[in-house]
Amino acid sequence: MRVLCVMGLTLLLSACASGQASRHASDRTLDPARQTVVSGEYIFSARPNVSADAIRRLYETFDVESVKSLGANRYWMRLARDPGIERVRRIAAESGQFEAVQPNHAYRTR
Amino acid sequence: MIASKRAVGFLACFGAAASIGYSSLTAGQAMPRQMVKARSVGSYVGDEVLVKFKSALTSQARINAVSGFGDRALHTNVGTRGLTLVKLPRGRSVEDAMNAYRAMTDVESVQPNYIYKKLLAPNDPSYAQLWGLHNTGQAVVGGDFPTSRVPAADIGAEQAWDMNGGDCGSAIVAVLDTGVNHTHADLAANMWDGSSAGFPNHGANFITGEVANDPMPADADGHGTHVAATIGAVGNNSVGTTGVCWKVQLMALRALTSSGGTTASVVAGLSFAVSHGAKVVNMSFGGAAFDPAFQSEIVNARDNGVVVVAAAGNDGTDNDDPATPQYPCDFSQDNVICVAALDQAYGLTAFSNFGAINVDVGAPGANVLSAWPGVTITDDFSTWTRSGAWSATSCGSGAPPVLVNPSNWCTVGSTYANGANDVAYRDFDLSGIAGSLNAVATFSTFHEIAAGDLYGFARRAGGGNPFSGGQTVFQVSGANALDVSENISACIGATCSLGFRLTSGGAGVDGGIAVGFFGINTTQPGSNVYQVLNGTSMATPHVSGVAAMIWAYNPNYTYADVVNSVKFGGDFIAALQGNTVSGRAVDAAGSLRFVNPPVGVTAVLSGP
Repeated sequence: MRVLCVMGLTLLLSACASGQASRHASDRTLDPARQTVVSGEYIFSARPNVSADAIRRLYETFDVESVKSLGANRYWMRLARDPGIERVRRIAAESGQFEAVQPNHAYRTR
Repeated sequence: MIASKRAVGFLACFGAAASIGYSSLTAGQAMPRQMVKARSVGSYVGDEVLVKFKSALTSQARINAVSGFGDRALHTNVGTRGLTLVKLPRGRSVEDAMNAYRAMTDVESVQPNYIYKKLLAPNDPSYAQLWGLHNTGQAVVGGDFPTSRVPAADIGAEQAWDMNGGDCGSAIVAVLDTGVNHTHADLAANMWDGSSAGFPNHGANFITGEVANDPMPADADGHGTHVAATIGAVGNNSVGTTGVCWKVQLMALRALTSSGGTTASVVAGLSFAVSHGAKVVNMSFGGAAFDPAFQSEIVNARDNGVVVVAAAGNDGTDNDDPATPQYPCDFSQDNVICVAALDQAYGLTAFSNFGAINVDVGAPGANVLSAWPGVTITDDFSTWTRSGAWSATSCGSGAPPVLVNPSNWCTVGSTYANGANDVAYRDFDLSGIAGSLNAVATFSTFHEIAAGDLYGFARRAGGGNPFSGGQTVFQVSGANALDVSENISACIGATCSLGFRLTSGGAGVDGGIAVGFFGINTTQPGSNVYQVLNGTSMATPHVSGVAAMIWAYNPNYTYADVVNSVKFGGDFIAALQGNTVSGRAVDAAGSLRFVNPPVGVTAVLSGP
């Protein structure tokens, strides 16, 4: 990467950087620039009557920072300690309360 | 988007490809397109044709020939070619007459007598810069995307405005983006009024930790404002630019920051748009992963008759390639229109993604002038105070100015020194932006910092070394390439220093730091600022505007009718053949005239 960037800093600030989103350098997203998911954040499609509190209880071991309803039985959750998507999915499946769980994908302006 | 400031670098990589795109267009597209436009100005006179007889024929012989068909010669010497203007009797069609005259050996050519009228153009002072709406071959002031220019390579806005006056007022268009400065002088009158639903600020904000009912871009990011004004900057108001729609209802939905957005924010924003009456949702953003929750919301939009218009992406890659998909473009739902970016000659820009399966149409996406939230202060590091090995330089002829440490950073293999405590900063007098709603320092940076060493950014009210009595904004180590955006609203109206520091211990060293494109963005109430940008993000709102226009013109259309009209009412463009589903560039007038084939019609044949 360095070699490319030196070859006319355009690359630093265009080819190397233009494909990446800007961000607060201090945020938790100061990760590989091309990351496609936000670490520790998940989206749940819940069965009817599943509450945000139920999700908090289910994942409390991983220090739930926040759970928010997105409407239509969909919830967003942020964990302080991220066990990874496979573990999160396994817990959700065992509970029988969810239709699907997925990472919180990243989108950037074009 | 591809900000104009990056175009120089972009070109260094892709200039050759852009030239190829232009050549392929000029070879075969420009003239046919102009001819199509001449005919489309209006229809022809229904009972007249123009005949070019062979020049040997006398005037009387022409009159006799015309009379022989029962027609009447009104003039026998029109124009330098000596055309004969023929009046047809009642019941004789132009087509019949043309066929009859074509069959005569004394006739060189025959054509309808087309009707021309003055096209409707707005009085907005920067209208002449908007090549995407009306391409006269103009150079765009501030536009740095290199392109040839072909007159009439545009979306045919004036022809459409002749039909509907630019009025899309019955359509709500949601701009799912970084937010909109809804006080902008060219946007305020076209913002959605959501006050009765509890949203007095013309939209909503889906970024966690920000004011939920105000989509004002808290990070001064101008992307959403730019996009919104391409759709619907107030037209013919003697201010700035005009949108594709002169009048429309723009719903501002902040679902991305300058860092981007997530499934959670875009799903919530799309859900809001659908449930609050939006007919079109503009999505000038993308992601690389298939996202079931997002797709489910797109399905919900479709089930509620909402059209989604999405940017193809700026990687120059094939969206059909499983290795480089783009969402929402690649979702298969038929209410999604995916848009590639065209240059001023209607070549496909080198940065634009493409795809014969997943990219539907092309639209103007280079050197696009549109609204901006507030003034931008740029800097080239030439007046910075520097200690240690910081240097303001440029890595080659034509390359942008950069601030680097070590001073020979441009030399491959260089490293910073052990024991460094190097600071570089500048005092910025920000009294000129007093009253701004917010201010954000933005820059691009590439750093390689050994473990234990630190790269920091800081600010200090009143000026001077920001690492002495100032506030450290970040300190990091490791390697990364980033576009950074940091809020410095506390500096508004005062002098404030901003700067960088490299501190190293006695152990390992690494490549160091390069910073470029340093600037301060602001959001100002009643802004009357405009900016030129490049990207499929800029092409997308041209299409959203056309979709809104179609809907306003045909209120009973279904989403499928609107999508068809957009896709198949456009102009065939060589650069889009094989690179898009339709092979067409969107055309507003063509889309308004496009007649959707009837569905569910049964023909009953009965015997004699």
